[in-house]
Amino acid sequence: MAKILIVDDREDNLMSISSLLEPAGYQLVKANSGREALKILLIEYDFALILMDVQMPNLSGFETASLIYEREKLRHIPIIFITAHSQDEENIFKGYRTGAVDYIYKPINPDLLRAKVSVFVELYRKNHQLIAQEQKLIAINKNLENEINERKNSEEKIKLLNLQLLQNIDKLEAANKDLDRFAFMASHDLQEPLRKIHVFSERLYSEYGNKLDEGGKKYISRIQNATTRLQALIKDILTFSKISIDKTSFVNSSLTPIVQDVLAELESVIEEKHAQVTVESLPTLPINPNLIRPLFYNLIHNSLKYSKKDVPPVIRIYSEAGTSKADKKNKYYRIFITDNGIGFEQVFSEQIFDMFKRLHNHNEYEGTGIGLALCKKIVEEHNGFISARSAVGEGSTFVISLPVPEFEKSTEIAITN
Amino acid sequence: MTTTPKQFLSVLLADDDMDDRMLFADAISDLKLDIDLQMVNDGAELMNYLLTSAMIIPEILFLDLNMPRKNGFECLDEIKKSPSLKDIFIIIYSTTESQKEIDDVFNQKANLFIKKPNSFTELKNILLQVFTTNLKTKYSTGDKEQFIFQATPSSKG
Repeated sequence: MAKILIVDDREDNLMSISSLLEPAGYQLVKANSGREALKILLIEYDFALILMDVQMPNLSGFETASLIYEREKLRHIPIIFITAHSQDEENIFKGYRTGAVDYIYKPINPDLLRAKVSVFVELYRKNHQLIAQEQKLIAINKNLENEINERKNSEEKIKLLNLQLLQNIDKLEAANKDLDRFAFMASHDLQEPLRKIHVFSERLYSEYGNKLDEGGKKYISRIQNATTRLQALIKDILTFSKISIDKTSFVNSSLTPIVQDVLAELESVIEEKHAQVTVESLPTLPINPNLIRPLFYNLIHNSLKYSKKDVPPVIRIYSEAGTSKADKKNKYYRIFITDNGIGFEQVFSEQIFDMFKRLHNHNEYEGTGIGLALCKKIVEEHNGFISARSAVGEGSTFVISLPVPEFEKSTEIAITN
Repeated sequence: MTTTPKQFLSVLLADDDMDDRMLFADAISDLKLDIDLQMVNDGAELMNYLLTSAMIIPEILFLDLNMPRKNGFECLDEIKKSPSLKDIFIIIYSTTESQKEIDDVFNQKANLFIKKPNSFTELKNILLQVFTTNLKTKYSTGDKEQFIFQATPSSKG
């Protein structure tokens, strides 16, 4: 409800103006002097309008108005002066100051008074609404600012976490490299004394063998066997550790000649075992040939080694192109190495790629337990993966999946024979 | 292959490994070749020997790579820079399997690379082949194919 302050020194005037305005539902506050009006305005300043008689003793309406307008909090309250019909009086107030003022002349036309009052009250309401809206906007703005700040904070937190993650990755990679470097240095330094054991036990045998009985000779040959095994082991650890140390660039190469090279290297074993090896079309991919060669060497060598007694090994190497189910654009090649060997239980299909994991005693099948771990590491260096399927007595299939990198996808990948 | 060893061959071995020096000397003495073998214990001693105290400049130098004080690479570099020493036939005698190190010594104009063998018999076989070959004609510098010495398997007897 809008509040209106009515100031007049004459009680009857206050009464008549009140009776004119009361029906409109305004809350009316009456003051019978300028001084009293000022007193009221010290406590209450939420008036929509002041109706002020100009001619009052002591403080005139104009003087009161100018005192009112000296106060910041009251400056927005419009004043309607009630005055005798004289233009001169209007000019007098202009001498004081201008504000939101209007004039109504005596004798008062009730309709005009109601109309003027309602206009000012309406203005006050609108003003208040605007202020309320502005405050709401300010509040919303503040919320937004808070939200933005929060978001900024969380973004910074994420950035920090990301940075920490990256640093951790760096640290991990460095630690991994250190480990590999350690393995490299250790195995390198271990090789020297081993070579000596091998050389001197061989000399002992060849130069003093005739002074030893069969037992003594057997011991020497056992020393030599153990040394040879240890040398093979160290050589494999060295190769393994070198994979991540030597980061040679990848070159687009066909896998076929690499596999052919490996087969040539294994020729004597292939002949000895009467193995039948077929190599079908293999893709050309960006690879590190120095790594891919030992990969195929190990897998084919395994197929030959773990063959069934009295059954000549049959080994087939072939490839298939594919796209990943998640993203059709992700092309990869799968290279299969299948054999008809002794196989293994499928439950071991993951463990066999672990370092030093062996399924057989080295007296049955010689080996260091590093070969397949090496294969896995090599494939992973190529961002691929390796898996195995097998059953005891059913042969094994090793599957190498190698991705076709982004820039290769636009051009069709040539399959070479 | 010619089997007639050259009359009198001066050979120098630079190796910090006592066992390897002993094996090398034993192998040469077993082969009964007319070879004058001198040995030094490391790179610094090698350079000191070559530049000040050698009676004659050796025809063949067996140079280990991993040695204290001055390693094989440094020695190789100094020898190749010295007008009086640069023509020595240099055989790198090392256990290294690093392709980078082998490439490095090849680029530094070493003549031949021999990997220290795993047995005494093999060592004798290698040395016999080396000393009975006209090295300078067979291993003319610059042929990388022949840089790493491949011994033909020893014939029994």
